[in-house]
Amino acid sequence: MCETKYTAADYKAGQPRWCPGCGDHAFLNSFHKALAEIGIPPHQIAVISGIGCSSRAAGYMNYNTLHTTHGRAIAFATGVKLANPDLHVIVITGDGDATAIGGNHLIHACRRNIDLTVIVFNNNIYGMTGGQYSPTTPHGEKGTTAPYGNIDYNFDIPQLAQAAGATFTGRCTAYHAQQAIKLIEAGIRHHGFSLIEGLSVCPTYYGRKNKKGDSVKMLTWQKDNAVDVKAAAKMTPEQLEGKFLIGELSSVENKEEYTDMYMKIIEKVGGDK
Amino acid sequence: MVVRFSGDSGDGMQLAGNMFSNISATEGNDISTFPDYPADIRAPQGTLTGVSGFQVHVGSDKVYTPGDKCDVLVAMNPAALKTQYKFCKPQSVIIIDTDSFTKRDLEKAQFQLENPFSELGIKNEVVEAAITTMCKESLKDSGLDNKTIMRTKNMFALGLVCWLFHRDITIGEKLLREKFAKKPEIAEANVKVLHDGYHFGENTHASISTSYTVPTKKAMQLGRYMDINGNKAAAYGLIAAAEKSGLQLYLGSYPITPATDILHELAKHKSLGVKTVQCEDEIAGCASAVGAAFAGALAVTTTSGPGVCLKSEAMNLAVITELPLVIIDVQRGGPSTGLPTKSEQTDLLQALYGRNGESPMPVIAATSPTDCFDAAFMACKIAVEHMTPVILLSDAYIANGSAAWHLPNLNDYPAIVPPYVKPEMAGSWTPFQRNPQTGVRYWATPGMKGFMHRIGGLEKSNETGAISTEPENHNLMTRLRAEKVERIAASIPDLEVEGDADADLLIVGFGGTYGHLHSAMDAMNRHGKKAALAHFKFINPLPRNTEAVLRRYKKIVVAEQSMGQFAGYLRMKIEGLHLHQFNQVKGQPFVVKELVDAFERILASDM
Repeated sequence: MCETKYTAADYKAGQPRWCPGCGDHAFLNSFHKALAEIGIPPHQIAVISGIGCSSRAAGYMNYNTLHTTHGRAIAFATGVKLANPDLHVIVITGDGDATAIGGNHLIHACRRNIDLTVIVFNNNIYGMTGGQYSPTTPHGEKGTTAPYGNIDYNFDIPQLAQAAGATFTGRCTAYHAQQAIKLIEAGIRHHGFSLIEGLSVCPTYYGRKNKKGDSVKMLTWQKDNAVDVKAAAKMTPEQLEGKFLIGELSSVENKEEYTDMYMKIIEKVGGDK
Repeated sequence: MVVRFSGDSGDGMQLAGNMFSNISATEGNDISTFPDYPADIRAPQGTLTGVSGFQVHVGSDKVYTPGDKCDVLVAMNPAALKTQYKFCKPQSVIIIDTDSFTKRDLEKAQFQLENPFSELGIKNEVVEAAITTMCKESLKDSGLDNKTIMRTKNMFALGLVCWLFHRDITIGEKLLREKFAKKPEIAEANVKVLHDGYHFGENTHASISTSYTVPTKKAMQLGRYMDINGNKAAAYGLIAAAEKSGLQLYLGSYPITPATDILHELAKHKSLGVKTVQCEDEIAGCASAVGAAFAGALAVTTTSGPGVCLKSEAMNLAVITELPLVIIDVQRGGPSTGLPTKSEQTDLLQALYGRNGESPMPVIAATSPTDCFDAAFMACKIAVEHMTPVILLSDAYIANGSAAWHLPNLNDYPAIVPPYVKPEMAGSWTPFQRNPQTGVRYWATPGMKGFMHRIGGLEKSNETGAISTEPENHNLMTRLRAEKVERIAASIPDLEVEGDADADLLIVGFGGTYGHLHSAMDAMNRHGKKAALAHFKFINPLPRNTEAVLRRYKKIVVAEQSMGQFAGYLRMKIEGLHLHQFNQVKGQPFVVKELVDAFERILASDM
């Protein structure tokens, strides 16, 4: 994309304050490395985040970042992209931020196919506020507000996004760092709405409450139960029982992107002079 | 001269009223309009709640209000007669469509007797026109179906009223042909019926004893005029500000009565590079606007009271990140869903204080339909030059009301200069570094090389711009944000006092009640009671001479369409003020006579 070569170190800033063992550390590193692969100058990137452990990432990055309000990052990001379509606009959000309070903005951004890359750091819990259940806390598991077990069913976030119109969806884990880097890169390169679910681990709340063990144990679980979507195509239903898919889950080419269509109208009536 | 068109919702009274206003303004009169219609999409035909009215005051000189009462009432059905008769004076002329006064129609309007006039005790002159029959007869060879023919009845009524007021009917023809440009047969049908109404007036001339002339004053400011309502004027003001500042205009919004027309108007102007997004909800409307401001646009969001409630969190992000944003609140009856099509001034305290924390925000209140242009322009200037969100209060009455507007020369308007970072600041600049004179931070936007930065909702260090919970820093930042808004007082005009220089009573108001309060003051002075008016447009900060002005008068009455929000605010800002209050929350404009009576009682009392 440009002559200067950037490394992950160019994009880092500050000292992340997540718990030791939090999966978000790994995702932040994968994120920096993915951007370094593409080589976008940092001043042309705008990262918009919401509220939660995930969204604190905006404070640990050397780009233009806007740390917004709970659930609304995608709405703010829409305005950023419309106002300056040349910027690379990336949203960092969490499972509660994106699918509970922010659900409405998520599905509409998918529907519009606006060129944003939304990365959901999903740790299956509300970490920052002390461990309440979220729309992705597995059915039957515990949280501080579900002491007898969560009776809610869960979203499958990439499926939700795909059904709403997202033209690129994928899932990666904190364990599979190399794959995460490639997926994030692909999502950013995709021209249209990209949603990447990053399965994180929260040993402090979700893990402890549900006796999942320490960070290493939780990451090992990811290693043992994740199946790459390409490999899954060759496996039987019995073999896939209890597993979850990672990799590029859906991709639609040739669907016109929102800001392109918008700018076309403006050009057509001569508003770009 | 005041005309009130009224009929069933769907009888086309709004169009008839609008056209009459437009024709009058085009002929050089000043106008003030008041559309008064129900919130329902379509109430049952002929019922009392379904009546839609449009009142317009036409004058040779400046016109301040749509008038307390009308000189001519058009009542297209019995329900209209029953509900609108109260706006007539003893000598008003009432025009009715006799074909719509059948037994069934009278029943729907809950009349007991056969003669609605004697039942209501009406002694006015009534012009009876068989409008339905005449329209059918006129268009019987037109090839149009009955339903379409019935829709031209309003044009008959308009034609008749045009004859009464000696209007140039060719202006009406032109408007119709423009409106129905894609359907010439509809246009011509309406033009024909318009003429029929006019001729009917001529032919029955002998039976109307009064004739009305509203001449154009010769000494009028030269230039181009158009009639404009507050919402359209606000939209134009935003575009003017975008041009003056060199910024791109971005509107993030959501449909809500009575503000939606601003979104409609701006959505049409893509040829001027205006970007508008109808977002998925009110919050996204405001949030996307703040995002656009972060990226360097002139960002605006428009709404009414309920939307301000929803947007408060996103507005607060603009407060703490110190980004420019204009929020236009076209106030309506509340609380909650309230009265969507009726006007009041009850969002003042919400605008000033309806957010968590110490959240200082400039508040401006437009005073008339045409002032919405200037107020919107000023709101943008303040927002951009002081890096702050600004709330512009409008209301349903001025938003939908029209007046004749002299098209301004933008060269007469002040420059708008965004406080951008300068290239030499690169390297040492931090996001909350401030201009020492104004206390305003410098604006860097994503894409500017060397000026990457991180901002957000958490409190930040004044020195470094990093997240900080340090106690002295929070204290300092809170005060700096407040001071920044207070300093805006140096850029706003002083408070003006109109009327008697040594008045015994000072009338105080704000926003869209200007016309009515001015008329009340005038009426009092004509009665020999000395009154003056101080009408506020800038609420936060208040003009610097506010205290000095208010302390000069022995008696002050704050007249507002609320339960006393502005009076309470003034008492909070200025110690020891004794204020009388005139409060009305009816969803209807003030009645000048009622104001005068109340003010004269205050003058006469000991308190």
